[in-house]
Amino acid sequence: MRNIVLAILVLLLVSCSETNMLQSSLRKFNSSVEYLHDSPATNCVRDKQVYVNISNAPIDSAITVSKLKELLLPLIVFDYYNIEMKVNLGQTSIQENYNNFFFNSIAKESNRSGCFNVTDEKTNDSIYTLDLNIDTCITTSNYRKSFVFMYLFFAYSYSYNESGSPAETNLQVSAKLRKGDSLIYEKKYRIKRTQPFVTQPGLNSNNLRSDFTTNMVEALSLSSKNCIEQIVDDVNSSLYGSVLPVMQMDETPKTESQNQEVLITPIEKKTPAINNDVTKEQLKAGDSVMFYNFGTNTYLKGVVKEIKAETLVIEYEAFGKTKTTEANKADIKRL
Amino acid sequence: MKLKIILTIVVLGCFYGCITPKYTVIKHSQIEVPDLDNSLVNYIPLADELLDKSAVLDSSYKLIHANKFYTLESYVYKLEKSGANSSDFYLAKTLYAITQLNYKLALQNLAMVNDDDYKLLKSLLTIDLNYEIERTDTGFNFNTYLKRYQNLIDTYPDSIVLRKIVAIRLRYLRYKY
Repeated sequence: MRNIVLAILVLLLVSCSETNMLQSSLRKFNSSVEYLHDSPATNCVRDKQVYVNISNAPIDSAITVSKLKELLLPLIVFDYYNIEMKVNLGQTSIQENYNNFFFNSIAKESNRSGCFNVTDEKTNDSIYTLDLNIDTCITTSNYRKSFVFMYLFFAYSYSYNESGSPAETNLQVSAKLRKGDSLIYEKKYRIKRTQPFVTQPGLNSNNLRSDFTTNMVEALSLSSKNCIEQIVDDVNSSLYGSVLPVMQMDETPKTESQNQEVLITPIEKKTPAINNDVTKEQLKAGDSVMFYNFGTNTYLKGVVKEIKAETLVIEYEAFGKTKTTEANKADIKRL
Repeated sequence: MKLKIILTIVVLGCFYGCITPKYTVIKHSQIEVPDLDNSLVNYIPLADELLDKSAVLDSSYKLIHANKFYTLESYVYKLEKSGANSSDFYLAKTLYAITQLNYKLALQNLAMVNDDDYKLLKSLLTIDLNYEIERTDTGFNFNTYLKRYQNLIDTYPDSIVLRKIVAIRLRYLRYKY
């Protein structure tokens, strides 16, 4: 009887220390909250200075872990232990100071999609004041650990598993834009975002926990991005209405084709693209061409022997022998 | 007999796993990014117009897509023996080296690509390959690469595809994959 009580006590002690163990382990990892500014850049006159005043974000100083659910089945031939823990993101898991990051990101965004300059010091030029109060900044996620142990006489089997859940961020920011003492606009931004936990299979505990922390920081980063873009957009609208002051450029305006979506082709091109249809029509016997060979899945060099309505008869050399093939015009490239 | 079959499957599986390219070479017209959040795809985008113009690049692209890396190797070798030194040939060599996860060789070949048509692709791949080399050799700084990618998308602001591709690339960087 004494042994059983002792065993249960040991199991309970182990289960109590799980949260502390995970907490100290997660505190070893941190990640950058910076993100890619990919909003469309505007080309406007930035003659208005906005003094941005951010109150301290209510973010925990370090990551904390608390127990959510726990199940222990200490049977004779089968032991099962499962624990689910709630993890709260803290400042030490973020490489940058969150307040500084928020201010710098607003400054970058205002220089990109915004039409105003941002300053953190009140001067005579900055007649506009943007008060940002970060009311809520919570990023949580769940972490699960399970352990199964089976034994029968001399045979035994066990499995151990750890997994993380998608991180959820709840970011609430109150914004007030003033001109002198008069309030121009006031808004509350509520961003709730669930960041899927995309991880590679077969990771060890350390790498999994590193990815888990990164996932939480990523959720906060992308939520902040969303919030900041909305704030800058609203400040633009409040300062200028729907028409933004576009800068007058000395350059000639972009042509319609330049304004269209450019994929990978650079803006400047050395030579105009060859119009294949025209050149193919102008092909004549004796011209050198490249034709697609389906046997080798490559283009081969050949000479046009005969021109038909849809195809071309091409002579080419392979393995020291001259061969003839018929190729579709669509599979021909002019040399 | 059964053991031999199982061993062969395991060995082939390991071999295939070792050479599975991290980067997917893809035509612009075939790029689909259904869900950025759930994706961990790494695209090397090739413009359809460039593939139409370059027979070498088109052939290499088709071979990579068909996972015919051995044929691609011999194709590139044959071109090299015939004295090819054009930008598209070096780009094909770069792509081949990337499929073999030989990023240092890929970077050396990429340096030989001088055609303006491949300017953007060269810039993108230069960042990618430097990241791969630093990641394995010395470790890398996320913010340094974030700035490099930021500069790239700011240089080509009209390219929506590039923005999408870079956004996914950054997930790899965040998770140090």
